[in-house]
Amino acid sequence: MESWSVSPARDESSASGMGSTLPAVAEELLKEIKKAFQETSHVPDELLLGLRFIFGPCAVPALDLVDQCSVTQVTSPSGRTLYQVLGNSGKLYTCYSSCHFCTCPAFGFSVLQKSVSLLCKHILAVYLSQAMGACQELTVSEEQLTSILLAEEEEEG
Amino acid sequence: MAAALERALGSAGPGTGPVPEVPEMSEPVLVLGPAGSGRTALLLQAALAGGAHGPRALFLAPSAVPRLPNGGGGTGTDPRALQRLELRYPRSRGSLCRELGALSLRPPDLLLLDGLEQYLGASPGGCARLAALLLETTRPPGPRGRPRPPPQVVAALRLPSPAPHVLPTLRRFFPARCLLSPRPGGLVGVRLSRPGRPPRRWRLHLDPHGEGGGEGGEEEQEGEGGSDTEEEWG
Repeated sequence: MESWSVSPARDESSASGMGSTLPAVAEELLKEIKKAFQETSHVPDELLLGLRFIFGPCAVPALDLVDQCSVTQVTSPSGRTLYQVLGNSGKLYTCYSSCHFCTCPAFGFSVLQKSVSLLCKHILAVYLSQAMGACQELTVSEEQLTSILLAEEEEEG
Repeated sequence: MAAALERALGSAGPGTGPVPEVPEMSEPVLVLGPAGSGRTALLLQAALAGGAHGPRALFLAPSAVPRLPNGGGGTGTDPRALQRLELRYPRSRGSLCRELGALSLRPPDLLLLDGLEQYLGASPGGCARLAALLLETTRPPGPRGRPRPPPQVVAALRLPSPAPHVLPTLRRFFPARCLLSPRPGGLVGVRLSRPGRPPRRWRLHLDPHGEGGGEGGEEEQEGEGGSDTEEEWG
């Protein structure tokens, strides 16, 4: 696999499970969190500090979302997958599997417009839930999965 | 995807040395060029260049293509390649999204989206959402699905970009980019940049109306011609 930049473009071989590219140090940290959690059901403080260092202010809210089991992996019979994250406001946000994209306003503002964050807390919560085995699972039909993907497009007309 | 474009552009010209073999990659490619630079022709050429054994391609554009390369079935175009090309014309962003949503069960081998500038939303979020949707709906299914190679995705955007946020946003989703720069004498300079690889350049004839293919696929030398960086186009 070639590795390059922090671009969120798809990379099917990503170690983190989502088809996206994270900086190598972030990938490594998530692997360590996964390993530690599998062995001890606990994430050591030094890894939590690393998480805060790499992902900044969205690290703690993302961990809260994981604690609240807010991440659902939605899968269709063909194997297509996306993630839905229940935000603190009660709104459900959709995170794509193929690239870093979330339907929340913070992704548009902090990640795309201001470029002050690598990810929003919902995408980070997806990564952490995968690492800690904390994803809820939901199987839907192909049509339902497509409806979720296109939901806000339909609303916007 | 770059493979389909590189096939359309032709092999390296004289003096460029051997092209190193690299594993087939499927990174999405953004084709950028001003009006009349031959973006549509290049996309169609990418669909047809493989001949009878080329990809099953879907070409999406906001309006109909006046002519296919080489007159659509004329000399130089394998009719079997034409049979593998489907053209569809979603007029609006909503129609395009519905087309993309319908791809998930039977995605093409090669998805070509022309006129991207006409579908982008006004905000960075809308722009990113469309780019992400392109990638998401062409993503191969996970372990439950039948394994297959990921479809190649190529989108074309007219320069200058419609808003300052467009290029920075699209760069997040399209790691490979192909910049077309008109040259004197009806030629077009083509610069294909892929992550982790040195850029490749060609100088060729691309008919802006979709007619004619990549004739004279000669590799261009560094520094030839006019503007060929995306930054110059904002």
